[in-house]
Amino acid sequence: MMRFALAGNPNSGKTTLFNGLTGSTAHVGNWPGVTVDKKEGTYKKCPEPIAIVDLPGIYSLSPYTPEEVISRNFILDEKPDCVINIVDATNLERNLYLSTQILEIDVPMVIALNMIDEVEKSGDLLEAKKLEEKIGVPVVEISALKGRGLDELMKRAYEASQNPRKGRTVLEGTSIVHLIGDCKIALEGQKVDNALFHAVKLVELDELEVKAHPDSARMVEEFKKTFEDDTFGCDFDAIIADARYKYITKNYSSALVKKDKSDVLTRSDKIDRVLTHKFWGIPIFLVILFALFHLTFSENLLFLGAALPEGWVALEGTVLEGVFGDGGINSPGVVLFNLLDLATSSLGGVISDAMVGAEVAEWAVGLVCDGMLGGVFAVLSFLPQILLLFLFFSILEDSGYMARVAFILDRIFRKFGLSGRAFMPMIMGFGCSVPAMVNTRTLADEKERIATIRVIPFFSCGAKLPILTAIAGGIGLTFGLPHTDLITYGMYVVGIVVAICAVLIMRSTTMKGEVPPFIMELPTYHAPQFKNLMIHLWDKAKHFVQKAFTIILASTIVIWFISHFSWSWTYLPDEQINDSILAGVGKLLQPLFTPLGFGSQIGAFGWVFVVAAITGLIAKENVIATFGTLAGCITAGFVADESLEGIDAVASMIGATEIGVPALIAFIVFNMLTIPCFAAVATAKAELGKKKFNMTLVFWVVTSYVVASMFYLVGQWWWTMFIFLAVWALLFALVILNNKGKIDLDKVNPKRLIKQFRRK
Amino acid sequence: MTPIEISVLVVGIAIVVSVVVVSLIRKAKGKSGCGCGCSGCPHASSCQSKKAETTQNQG
Repeated sequence: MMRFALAGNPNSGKTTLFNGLTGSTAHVGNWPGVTVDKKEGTYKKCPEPIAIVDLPGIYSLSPYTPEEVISRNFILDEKPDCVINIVDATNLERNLYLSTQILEIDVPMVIALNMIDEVEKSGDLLEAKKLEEKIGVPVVEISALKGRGLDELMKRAYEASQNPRKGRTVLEGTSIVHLIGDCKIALEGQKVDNALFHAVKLVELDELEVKAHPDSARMVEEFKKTFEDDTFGCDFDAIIADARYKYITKNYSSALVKKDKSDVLTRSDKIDRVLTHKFWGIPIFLVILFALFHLTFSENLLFLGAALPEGWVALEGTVLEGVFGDGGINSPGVVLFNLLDLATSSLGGVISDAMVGAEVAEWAVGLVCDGMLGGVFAVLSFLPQILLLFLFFSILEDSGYMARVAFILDRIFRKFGLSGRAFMPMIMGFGCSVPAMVNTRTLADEKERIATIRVIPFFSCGAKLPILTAIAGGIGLTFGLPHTDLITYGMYVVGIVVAICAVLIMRSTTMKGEVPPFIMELPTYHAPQFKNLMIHLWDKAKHFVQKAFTIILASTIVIWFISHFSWSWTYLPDEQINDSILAGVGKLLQPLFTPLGFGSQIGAFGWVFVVAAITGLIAKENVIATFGTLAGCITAGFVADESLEGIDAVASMIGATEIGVPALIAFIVFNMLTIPCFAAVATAKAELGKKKFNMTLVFWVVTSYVVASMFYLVGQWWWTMFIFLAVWALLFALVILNNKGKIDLDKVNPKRLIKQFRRK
Repeated sequence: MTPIEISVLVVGIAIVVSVVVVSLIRKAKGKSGCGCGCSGCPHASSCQSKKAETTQNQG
């Protein structure tokens, strides 16, 4: 099958074009690094099917980043039948730099002038025909977003693929053209393919080329000794880059006639003046984040509860009582949660009534109602809120705002050894840790990459949402605390703060290194595409439900079994659950969690919290599923026809164990920061290698344990706050002094200190 | 045991066994271990097996 490659700058629309051509739903992000590997699809409208390969976005074919290496190697080694070079028509000069490099390769090429609708909207005039005559390859105007010109593009690309093309260079008029010619002849003599491209790269002293062709590289070095340019000296890299841009400006840029709007700020510029403000940027981000959580979790939307007439939305006495609010208006997320919770509770009740009516044995009723339905429904109820939060984050990302967040954070944290580039994978962790960890491949500094992978799980992913919501809701229900959305929001912020602190400490001590420059193109703001959002939302919903009815269902069945059988495999009714295998394991581990508040100090059923935390290792949703499964068995006065789900399950466990608020907050913090799910652990192992992975496991356990203990201790005995503040202040003082060179923490050798201590 | 009880037991065991077996098979094939779904993920190809993922054009 023929293969066409899509190559171009980041944010030029390659993946949008790829989706349009192949019918795929590949994710379109608004920052570099969204695609770090190639992706293939099939286009079937040409005379023969064509495989379309979406390459990572690159600014040049020099091997400075993994994306550039992947794209370059693909074009040179895999020899696609045609390269479709997507050029952002609103940014012609910068995009054509890559085009001039691809032109040097012996491969058919077509230029797709994307975002042509934006050019037309801005009043500029782009003469594609003129550009085509000058550049010597087909040029097609398209709008990948609107699906305009795609068939014409593929038709021209197919025609181009039928005619082999010899590479040509735009560096003909430069002072080093003869050197390029000599290198080309030398490489042709060695039967090297794409001799012209490799010759130009050799003259640039490209490290890959120097390694591959040492003899020719020596020739270049010799020439360099006797060469001197007025402006650039003997920096051939700079000479070539300058020559390319001069050629582009002189020959290609005339195809674009811009409407004079030099005094006019673009819409994006105006928005950026506010959102990326030096002082207000971060507070605005925190407010936006709070707004998302408020719309998803609040039971007092816009804090209107006090102003409303009593019982206005409560719908007392109806089947929808409390769904829309009780004392305040529920946010859309909570309304949807309540509706789904009502549906699943009703269904659970009908099934248990039917089974009891059919005189089915108590264990079978328990297995179905608690083991299967209790666990799954406990998690399923959170689906609307997970989707809503996912939708909000997707809107922020697709609109271009998330790219600004990394930019704002870079400004501040660069002083502490952290670049904004590291925040991009972290922010992705809000969705799922797995792709976020893989995205760290875009970080050039290995130590920064390891540090980032370690803290990504601290950014609570969608799977941890049920834990936050259910525990916060349980706290609100049991202790009458209002504004449980603030607890959820607060926990997200805690995760971010702990992540940042951990990275700062690592980068200032064991993971010290240079802060790499952070160069990122800020995409223009635009309204997210509704269709793309809905497709991803549907996909997310589908996989969440699939996960609930597979992994979570299987887990809760196993949990039910081992909570209803003793070590001698005797069946135990609900009242004897404390003698079960599960309870035995939980009680064995319970003392370990005493400093965190949910250990030996809580009631007879406290082991449930320990067991829930452990089952969360399989999938984080299992924490609440475990509560859902066990709560119905444990709650005093259990009635077979009632099932407890989600928040009710947590509330009943709080009542049964008499656990306090500080311990519950510590429980949330522990689950947020501890070892993530198996999938994320496997990804971390693959990305880090065995030795660093083992240290990472220790890091996760220690951090979650210490931070959760802090929360419990401060919650129980407020004065301990001063001790912790003093310790943290000392730690940061050491870090700052180390950064300023006043002390050298690298010289502190713990083993030597321990030996000295023992001798004394 | 009544037929309903036997069915409940069999279904419960079948669910657990099938989930474990399918997970092991997917892992052996190098398929995604992430339950979050792939098409919305920018790194679907990185999670999956080294063979290129192919999708069909709907058009």
